Parts: sequence; C-alpha cells; structure tokens
Amino acid sequence: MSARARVRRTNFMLDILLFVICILLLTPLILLIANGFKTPQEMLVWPPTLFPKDPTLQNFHKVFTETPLLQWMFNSFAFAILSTIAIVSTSALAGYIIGKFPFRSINIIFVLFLATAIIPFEVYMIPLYFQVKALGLLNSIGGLLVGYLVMSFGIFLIRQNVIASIPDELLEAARIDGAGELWIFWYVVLPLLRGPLAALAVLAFFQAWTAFAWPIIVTTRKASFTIEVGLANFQSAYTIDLSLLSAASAAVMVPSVLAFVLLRRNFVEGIAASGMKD
Amino acid sequence: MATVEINELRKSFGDVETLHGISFSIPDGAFVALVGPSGCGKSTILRLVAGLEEITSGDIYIGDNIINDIEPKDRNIAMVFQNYALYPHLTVAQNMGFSLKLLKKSKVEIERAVKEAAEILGIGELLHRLPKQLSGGQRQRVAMGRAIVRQPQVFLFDEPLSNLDAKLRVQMRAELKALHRRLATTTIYVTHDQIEAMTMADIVVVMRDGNVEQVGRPLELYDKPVNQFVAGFIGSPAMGFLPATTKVGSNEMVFSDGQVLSKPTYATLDGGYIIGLRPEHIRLGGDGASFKATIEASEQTGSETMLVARLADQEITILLRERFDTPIGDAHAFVIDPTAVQVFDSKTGARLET
Amino acid sequence: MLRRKRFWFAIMAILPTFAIFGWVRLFPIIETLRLSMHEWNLLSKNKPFVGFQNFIELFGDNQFLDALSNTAIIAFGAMAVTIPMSLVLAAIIYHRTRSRFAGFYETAVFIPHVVSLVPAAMAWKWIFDAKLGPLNAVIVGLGGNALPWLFDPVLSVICIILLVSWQTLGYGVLIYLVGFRNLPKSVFEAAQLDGASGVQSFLYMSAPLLKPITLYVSVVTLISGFNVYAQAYVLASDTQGAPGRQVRVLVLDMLENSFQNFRVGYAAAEAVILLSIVLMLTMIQFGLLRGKGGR
Repeated sequence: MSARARVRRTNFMLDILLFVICILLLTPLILLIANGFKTPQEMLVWPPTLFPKDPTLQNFHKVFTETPLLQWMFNSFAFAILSTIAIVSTSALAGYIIGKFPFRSINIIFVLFLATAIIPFEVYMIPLYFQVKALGLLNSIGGLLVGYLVMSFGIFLIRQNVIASIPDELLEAARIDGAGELWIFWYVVLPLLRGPLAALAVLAFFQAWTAFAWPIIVTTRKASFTIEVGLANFQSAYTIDLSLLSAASAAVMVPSVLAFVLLRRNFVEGIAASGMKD
Repeated sequence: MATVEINELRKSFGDVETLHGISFSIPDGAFVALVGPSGCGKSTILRLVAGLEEITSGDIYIGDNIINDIEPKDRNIAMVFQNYALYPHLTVAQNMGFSLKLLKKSKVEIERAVKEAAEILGIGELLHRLPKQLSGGQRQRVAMGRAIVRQPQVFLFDEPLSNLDAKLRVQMRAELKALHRRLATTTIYVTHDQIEAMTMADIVVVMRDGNVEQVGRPLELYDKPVNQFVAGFIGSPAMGFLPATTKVGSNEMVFSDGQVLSKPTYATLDGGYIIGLRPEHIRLGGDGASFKATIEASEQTGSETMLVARLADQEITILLRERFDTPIGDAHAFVIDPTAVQVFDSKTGARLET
Repeated sequence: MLRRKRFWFAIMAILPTFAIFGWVRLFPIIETLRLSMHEWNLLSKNKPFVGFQNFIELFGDNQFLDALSNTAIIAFGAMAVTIPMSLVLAAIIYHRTRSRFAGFYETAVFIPHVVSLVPAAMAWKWIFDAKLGPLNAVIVGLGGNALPWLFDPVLSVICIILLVSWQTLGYGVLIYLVGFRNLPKSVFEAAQLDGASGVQSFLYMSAPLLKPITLYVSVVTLISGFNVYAQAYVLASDTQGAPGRQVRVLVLDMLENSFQNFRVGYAAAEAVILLSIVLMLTMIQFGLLRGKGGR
C-alpha cells in the first residue's frame, strides 16, 4: 500500500477510535437525560432499559412545578452573576494597579494575593462561615457571595495581560494629555482588556455555578439552596424517584452544556490561561 | 548509485501551485546547490525529496527507484534543518544515535558510529552536553553528525549556515566542502546566498517563482547566464544593467547618453537592448576608448575600492582591485572590456549570444 | 510630585479589593491557623488554648485517618488514571487536528468537565447502582456477578476515582493540547526522518518534552483530589433515597467535626493538615520544575 493510502487508513481508524471514546465519555450524560423521560416504574425495571419505552414529560413537568428547582436555579444564577461582576471588577482594577504601578507596598500586596492563591477554599471556609453567620447573611445570596467576591487567579491573569499588552507609553500619553487616572482606567485600559475579561467572566461564572462545599454549609433552608445543593439533597427530601431526580439533573445540566458549546472559545481560553499560571 | 532525478515535479498548496513542473538530474556524488530568492520553491523541493510534503504530480527518483510513495525513513536520506532541530531533551550523543536506536542497533554499534562521526566533525568532547549548552556552530555540527551517522545515500541541507555569523559561515563553508569531498555522498543544498552556492557546489540550480531558470556549473552560470535574472543573481557585487540601442549588423551599442561601446552583436532586430556589466569588468581608463562616469559614492576595503557611479544616467557599481581616491562628484574615465559584456533582450530578458 | 499622586491613586484604587481580600481571605486563613490551636465547641464563649493537642489527637483518630487514607487514594488514583489517558488522548486528537471532527472531539472530551459536579455524580450514581444500574447489567450479561459498587468500601472508592477521572480527563486533554501546539515542529520532522513511527515519536519525543505539563496537571489534579467532597457526598451517601455506603473524605470529616461534633478547633486543625499537604505538593512541583531548568 502506498504511503499516502496507509496514512489515510490510519487516520480513519484513529477517527473511529476517537468517535467511540467520545461517545463513551458522553454516555453517562446521555443516559441521564434519557432517564428523565422514563416513567418512575420503568426506572425500577431490571435489566435497565437504555432508552425509555414510553417517553413522558411528566417528570420534567413535576420538577418545575412541584419542586423548588426554579427557585434554586434563580439562586444559583443570581449568585453566579453577582460573583462574576464582583470578581471581574476587582480583578480588573487590582490587576491593573499591580501591573502598572510598581510601588513597594503594591508589590507586597501582590505577593499576599499570590501566596494565598494556592490555598483551597475548603481550608478556610469555616471561619468565614462564622463571619457570614455573625452578619446574619446565612441562607441568602449575599452570604453565598461573601466567599466568591475575589479570585486571586483573576487578579494575576489581568496583571499578566496588562503587562503584556498595554504599553506604558499609552498611559503616559494619556496622562500628558491631561486625563485623570480613573478616566484612563475606564476608557483606555478596560477596552484593551476585553478578551481576558471575557475569559475571566466565564471562568468566574463557572466557578460560582458549580460551587458545592461553600453553598452547602451556608444554606440550610430549602428555599435558599443553590442548584448543586438542592439536587444533592433532593434524594433525601423526596422518596426514591430516580426518574424525577434524573429529570431534575438533566434540566440543570443541559443549559450549562449548551452554554459551553456556544461559548467554547472563551471557556477554553480561560482555562488554558489558568494552565500558564506558574 | 545515488543519483537523484526530479521529473516534472509540481506542488500545490490548496489551489495555489508553487512548483510548476521542475525537472533536473543530479549525478551520483555531486554537490548540488538550489539557489533563489525567498519563495522560489527551493525549500519545497527539498522537503518533497525528503518526504515531508506530498507530491502533487511528477516523480522523484533516487537511483533507479521511484520514491514518491516511500516513507521518509525508508528513503535512506538525511536532512540538516535550518534551525538544526536537535532533540532538546537528549544529549549530543543521544541526538546523533537516535536513528540507530530506532533501528535497534546494539549499544556498542551505536557508540562506535557516534564516536566516528563526532571525530570527523570535531565534537568528540561535547557528547554529553545538551543542545541548549552548545553554541550555534556546535549545534550545527551536531545536526550534521546526526545526518552522517545514518550513512544516507543523499544529504539534504536546508539553509544550514544562515543562522551563523559571517566569520563562522565562511569557516563552515570550507568544512562542509571538505566533508563532502571526504564522504562523497550526493548532496542537495538549499540556500539563498549565491556565494555559498558558487563556492561549494558542483552544480547550481537557479530558481525563481517555482521555475528552474538555469542548471549548470558555477562558472557556466557566471560566464553564460541564460537570462537577465540569473545574470543579476549570480555574482557579487551584482551585475549592473544599462539600456542601449543597436542596429542589425552593427559593431556598436549606443548608450542613452551617446557613449558608444564597440561590441559586435548577433542582434536580429534593430532597437533597444539591455547591456549587462559586471562591476569587476570595469577598469580605470586613461584617454582614448573610455567611458565617462560620475562618481557618486566610494567604499574602500583596503585592497579594493567599490564605486557607485552614474553612466548614461544609470547607477552602476564598479569594483576596482586597487586603491582609488577621487572626490565624489567628479567624472572619471573607465574602460569596459567588450568581451565580458553581456547583451539581453529587453523584453524577454534572454541573453543574446555575442 | 506626579509620582506621589500616582502612588495615592494606586493605593486608593486597590484598597477596596485589598479590604475585601483581607476580610474573606487573609482573616479566615489566619483564623483557621489560630483556631487549630484552640478548643471551641461553637456554643461557649470560651476558647481555651490547647497548643498542638488537636493535631496529636487527630493522628490517633481512626475516622480522620480513614478519611485521610481514602482521600489520598482517591487523589492519587484519579491522577494515575487521568494523566496517561489524557496524554494519549490529546496526542491522538492533536494528530487529527486537521480532521473536520477535531472540534467535536475537543468539545465532547471537555463536556464532562463542564457539567457541574452534582448532576454528573447523579448520572454515575445510577450507572453504579447495584440493583438498577446498567454497569451491573452489562457485567451480568457477560456472565459475571453483580457487584455492590456503592456499598463495598473498596469498590465505592474505585467508583469515586472513576467519576473524578472522568471529570478531569477533559481538563487534562485541554492543557496537553496547548502543550502539543507549542512543541517545535521541526524536531518531529527530524525524528520522522530518523525513522520514528508515530508511536515512537510519541514515546521518545512528545512525552519527555511535555514533562513540565505532566507535572503541572499532576499537581493540579492531586490538589483538587484532596479537596474532593461533592462527589463523595452524592455518590456514596447513605441517605434514604439512594443506597450507598458513606466514603469518608477529608473535607467531609472536617465539616462533620465542626458542625456535627461541635469541635471547631479540631476541625481547624484538620484544615491545617489539608493545607500542609497542598503546600507540600506545590513545593514539590516548583522544586521539580526548577530542577529541569524551568522550561
């Protein structure tokens, strides 16, 4: 066989292999969605069926009307949006200052940011919990927010971008023209940071949306659960109704997967950037 | 027999054809230089011979075998890349021995072959170093060592000296030439530097825009360039061109300012032509049959003087093998050797036999 | 004069962020360190200083040791599965970069990472279900015995490792793909000419040249492995709705000590141990990277 044909055959086999692997990877999620369409009785059948024999929408209907899922979705969404706004604003400003104003005190602050960046949230969330409790913010979006107001990595990301793509001369020129510092930040720096800020926003949203340990200790009342917490405790609140559970999980999962598929570039940029940290 | 034959080779990238039917032959053991300006396709030809790119149409033979569909590793060739492409995580010895290791040769054999090649190239002491610890010249030798160890039928070089400083380049040129004489392996050498091609090669292939302009021995290209492009490309400093008119059967060519050059031509038409003058063929003249040119700039190197002068309203370069000090702006007399002058068709650029 | 103005602007501008940071990061971290040396049962005002006693007690506490070993096994297990698989997968996907399916592969591989923890765990929980799940159905269909995946202490840990690996695979592939794209192309051409096949190229060139990335991904997956919580909570919980035997992990043990056993100082000590492990892993990463000349 000629070299060219051999290469084509290998590529074809590799494509098949990759296809199979991808389908296998997605199978658990496909099954989950399929389960959402099964009747509760069909869920208890053994051996289990792959796809529902009698697909029904009753589970989804029940999930949205009889469970607090919508409330949870609202909670998660509000929490994630507010957290994103907070993180993007603090990171943009702090990153800019640290990047372009190299005074000693600023550098010390930067080192502090950096040093705490590697410490996982779970390590210090208990004392923070007590702070939130003392402020009476338990079971509220505000309380959730407290843990997700700043992101060390976000500050670092903006700093790197500011140093790499905003020339000092640009800022000096604006200053010479008489522009105030805040004006410079708003009209000169921010527009140039659009790309990294978008990637950061996606990352921050994703982080808040999928948070688990913090929300689970901060929210104890059903109405204030986030989606993650609500789903996790779903099983104890409702007697075993796997199809309902699957429907709820699927209802939560599908939008975020869709959002990912559409926003893939931003997502990947943000996560790849986190890989260049050190 | 490691002859290489290129036959009607074409290469397209997508819809763009970059090689338009290249054909030439390389005798066994010859050192062939592929020269041309950037983008002429010389590197592409090299990569096609190596098997790193796919041939769109045409054939390549090594010896009697057509190698179009043979994998690079089975073609029995070795290549030295422009940036050396050394394996950064392997020592010099491991770099050179890698191909043998893949062939599952014994450790003893590999060591011996590597040592031999290292001796030839003078890098025996560097065997345990990593590429990043080596200078440019040393890395280049390791790259060559890696190629030599494979004992290939054909060596391919892709502008190997262009990343070296001028002095090192001159030294390596001589060493490469000596190496070729010692190993007698067929070599295809790509470069944009025509001096390298002229000094090192047995045969030079001049290329432009995906076409072969001329194939021949270096001095052939110098003495009998086939067209204006080759004439202007070969030789340094480059040939100067002046328009002149002549009549059929006349023994004279007239420049635009009326000055006359006595040169019989075989022009078949009256009209304008291009005269090619090499800077080294113009000498200082006295009175008599001389040309007047105005000096515009002068560079002294100690043994030579390079002048930029204006003759017949054209800027030409003059290379004098002596010291010559004349104020800028003065006119001076020069002698042009009519037999060394070349005449080109002003429309096609082809050289006329004179 | 100008410089002082800029200095004050910088300080003022960064102050809000720093203040928030101090409140939600610095203060709790210091508090955790401080509390670890005290005893506090949440209710009383009294928080007596007890020195290192919490730590000493922890190392005799079977539940803690259980949690520590489980967590370590999960973390290292997930890493051992994820690293080779994502490297090989990234190599294959990179090889087929020019295929029209490349986008699909990258997207599909990454989706498990994007799906939030709890729905993903729910999906797998059903698969692992001893009585109703398809995994056992397939095993029985092939002639084997149904296994109590989520009940058996060993098997349930394996389940968590599988779940965590499945989630992390996409991340590893992504980072490796970036690494592959940054590898020097000419080195691979040279290897090809030297006679390396695709597999040999991968083993002798790609894998060693990607060592810094392997190191990074290892440490990241290890650290997040030590922080595992949601997956253990969902997958192997013993709430009435879904049968499973509880797998103790560090974070779970820590929260239990704090909120169920009312021993906040004790829990803080656990947090400090978790912190030390994370710091140690990070140090090792730095050390190993520097040793290679920090490429």
